[in-house]
Amino acid sequence: MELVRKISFVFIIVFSLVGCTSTGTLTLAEIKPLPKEVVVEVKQEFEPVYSVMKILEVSEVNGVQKFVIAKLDKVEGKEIAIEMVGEISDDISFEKVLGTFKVTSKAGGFLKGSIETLTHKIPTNSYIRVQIGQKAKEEK
Amino acid sequence: MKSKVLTFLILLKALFCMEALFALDKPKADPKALIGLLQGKKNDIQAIYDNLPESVPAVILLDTDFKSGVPVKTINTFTEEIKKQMIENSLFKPVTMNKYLVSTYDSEKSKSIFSFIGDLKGRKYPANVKGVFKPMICKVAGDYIIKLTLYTFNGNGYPISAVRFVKSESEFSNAIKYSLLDLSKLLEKYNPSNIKVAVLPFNIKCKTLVEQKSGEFDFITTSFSNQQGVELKETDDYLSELFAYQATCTGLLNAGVTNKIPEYISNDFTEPSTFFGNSNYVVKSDVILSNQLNLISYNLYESASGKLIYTSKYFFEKLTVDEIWKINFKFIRECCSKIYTSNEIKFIDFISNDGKSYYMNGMFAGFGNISDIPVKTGKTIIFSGTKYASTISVNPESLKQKDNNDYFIYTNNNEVLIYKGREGEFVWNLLEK
Repeated sequence: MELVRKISFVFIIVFSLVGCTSTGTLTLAEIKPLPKEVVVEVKQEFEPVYSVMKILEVSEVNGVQKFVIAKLDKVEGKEIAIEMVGEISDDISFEKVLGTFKVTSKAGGFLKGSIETLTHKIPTNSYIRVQIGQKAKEEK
Repeated sequence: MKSKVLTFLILLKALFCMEALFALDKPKADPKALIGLLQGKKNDIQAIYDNLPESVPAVILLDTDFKSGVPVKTINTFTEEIKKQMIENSLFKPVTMNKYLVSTYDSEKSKSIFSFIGDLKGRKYPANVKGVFKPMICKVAGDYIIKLTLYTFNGNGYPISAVRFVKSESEFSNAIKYSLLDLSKLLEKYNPSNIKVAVLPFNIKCKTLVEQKSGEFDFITTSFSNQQGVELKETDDYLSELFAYQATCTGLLNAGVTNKIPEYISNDFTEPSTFFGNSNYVVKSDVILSNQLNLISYNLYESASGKLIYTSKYFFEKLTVDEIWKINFKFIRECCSKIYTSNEIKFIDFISNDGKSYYMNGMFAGFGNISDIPVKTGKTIIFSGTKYASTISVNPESLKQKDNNDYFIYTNNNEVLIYKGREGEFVWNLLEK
């Protein structure tokens, strides 16, 4: 009986070894390219650049406000050309626009504009602004 | 009772083992593995593969391209040996990408190797993938020619490759190991020529001579041609691959076959101008194989204009490795003489190198006598070696040794000076003084 057990033990070891999976089998890794990165194109937004000037004088014709005169900024003034259209407001932030004007002349460091439209009377200490360019909006 | 249970268990185990032993597709247990198991080591190839470090370049392994005359068993042995040598020597990590490639290119194949590699290059991978690996095996007379090609992403469709000639399967191991070593070195450092040559697959036609008693004869079209015991078909083009390989090993041309991956690349584009932008020149060839005489016609086109700039025909009786090799170099010599000026290159007409192999630019360049090899003006070394490896590859110090058998070539105006071994080294040393 002991002999049978010993033989059985030897058989188990031999069969265990022979029956093992061979070293030759090889499974290669199957890969695929990573998904393409979706590039969301950020639409570049621009904001206007204004030259803001304080109105020095509003001249009236037959009681109607017709012209504005303002002092030109030395640097920004060079960007302003005749026929350009600007806005008029009583507030430097231009939250409420009172009307529009067209640049008619530039002389002696002053700008003269003809008022085109007007919804309210221009009070004293009002401002005009003319767009002289634009710049990319800064990302928040 | 215990002994009965034990006997039952033994019989059950024996049944499982019999199944494993007689399974045809499973290789038998390796004694090394048994020893490893007894020692408690996990040394099987799968474990080595799984543990290959990230620094080992991964390659997308494609199916082996084989030609008529190569038995299926040999193809399997060849393919398995490539995987084994790659992994055991930690040279490359083979991976597959069949699912993606089949789903992408099944409906619409890529236009050329250049666009195929370009597409894959533009993607990111979950491994350190360097390119696409395509093995090829063909039988020419009594020899097997093995070619391992790695289309690196940086090469943009122009591969790095290694070729060896072997007589039997028993030589696969060494031939593949040294070929992979060559590729590994080329992958690390490779300065291909700026002259890119797109080689179209050679157009092979098989003919048989039919004669009448009156003396009339004709070569009629047949579906195959028996060449030195190997029945070749029209689809068995390995000649273009060898041509591109030989052209590249001169270092004067960077050549690649436009389509050696037909499973993913279309065969519809064959006009030279199609490859403008990807190549400077295009080579198109027609081969007629017959039972009497064979003819190979080479045509060299300029890609930009599509103009044929040179054509040449060669006749040969027997399709053997030697014959193909010689003829290819003859046309490569002619091509180089059209592409380069006489001041830029010179030609080695003949060097007796009987019984040895020679290597140029880190690539196997041939066996036996050296002839019709174009070289750059100035200094060139042709390394000698065995059929598997060059002396410099096996021993980087070989140049300094007294028994150095390499060829030192120096072009002096129109003169090509060839020195051998130690003398050559002396000459080169003096040139630098």
